Amino acid sequence: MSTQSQNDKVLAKLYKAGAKETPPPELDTKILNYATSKHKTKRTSSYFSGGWKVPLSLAASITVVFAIIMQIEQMPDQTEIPRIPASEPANNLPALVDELNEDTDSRFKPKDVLRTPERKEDQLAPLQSTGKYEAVNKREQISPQSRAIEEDSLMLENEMSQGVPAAGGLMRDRAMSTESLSTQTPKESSMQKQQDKFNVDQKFDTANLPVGDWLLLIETLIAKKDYAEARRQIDKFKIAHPKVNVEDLEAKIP
Amino acid sequence: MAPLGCTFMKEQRQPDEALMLLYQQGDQAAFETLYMRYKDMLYRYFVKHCSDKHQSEELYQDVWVKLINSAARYQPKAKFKTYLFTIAHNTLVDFYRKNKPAISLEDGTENMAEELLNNSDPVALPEDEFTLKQKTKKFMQALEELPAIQKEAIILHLEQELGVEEIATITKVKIETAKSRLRYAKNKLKTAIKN
Repeated sequence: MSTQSQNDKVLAKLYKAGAKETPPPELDTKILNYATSKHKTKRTSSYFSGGWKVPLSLAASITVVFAIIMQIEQMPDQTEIPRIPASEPANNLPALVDELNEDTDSRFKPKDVLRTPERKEDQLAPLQSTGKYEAVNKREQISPQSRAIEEDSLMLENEMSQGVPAAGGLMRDRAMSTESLSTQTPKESSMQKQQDKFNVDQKFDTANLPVGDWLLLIETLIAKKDYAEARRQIDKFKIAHPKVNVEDLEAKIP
Repeated sequence: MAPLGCTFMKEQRQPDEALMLLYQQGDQAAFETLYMRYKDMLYRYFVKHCSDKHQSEELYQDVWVKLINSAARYQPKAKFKTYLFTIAHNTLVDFYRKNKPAISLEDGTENMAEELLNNSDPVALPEDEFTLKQKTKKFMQALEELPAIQKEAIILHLEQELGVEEIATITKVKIETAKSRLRYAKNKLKTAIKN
């Protein structure tokens, strides 16, 4: 061992023998507590300031919500029900039926007949698909012009089958006959079609009409003040159905 | 106690730098181990430089607070001991600058007029306890009388067992300067204990 190292060893020993100061315990506690609190503060702050998970998840949530909102706004409004254009012949049907319903004196008004129909568009389809039109057309061999009127009549018949079968039946009968054809302007023909719902031509054959329908027809004629025709129909009704009392209807005819 | 004891023993074997990194990641026990290793050394470092005990405690506390606050930025580029006493040196320099401007640890110039005692004579170890006490007392008095820059160098050498290069790093002087400071300090101390 060199002299220098030996001297250093002696000096070190002497120093350690003389330097025995130690920090007070309370100072130790204070410093260690500070270290602990500093560590906790660091950990807490990392959750919200240094961490990436919370901000990233928040951003992802906002993005998803925003995308959903945008998608909902771009979607078509499915609550809107597409409007089905109403057919012209049926426009006046509820009003006329309501007029008939106002007359409560008749004993021969079946409830089902006089019930105000609630037009349901889908009811046209089944009836239209039954081929009734075709059968009628083939059977009677009507011309194309009458066929157009017949189509409108058929539509009316389908609608009226729920509330006013009489008029529908009459329209069917009318479609079977070619005598009702007339040269009219489109406007006049449409008006005529509306009139023909309950306007009975003298040439119509009502013998095959059900009782309720026939009575309803008569009431309609009386309401329209077509007393001549109404009288004629009453007479025919009495012949066809002698047991049915039609005095009430006769009383209405001046 | 077994789990805590096992953790404590495990951390006792770990180097200082590893413990500091563990504390950086949130291991409180690692910091406690580090503290227990260096608390006495660091305390005595300030006690030897400051006559006031209360002042020494404040400076001592400041160093630990600075270390804790800078734990997040700690990088094991050098020994932890060097890092710790660099903070201590800077704290002491600031203290002297504020309170004792006459004393400076930054003065790199040595008193060239002072005769450099080439004291290579061996110093005998005290054989008995009484002699040891006598020599220790003389030694401590001589140490107290050393210039601040020499005192610091010798304390870092004797207490922390740091080499010349590390002393130079801590005190921010050249290696030769640190070496000469050590030499002067040792010679004075040897002279004191011989007399």
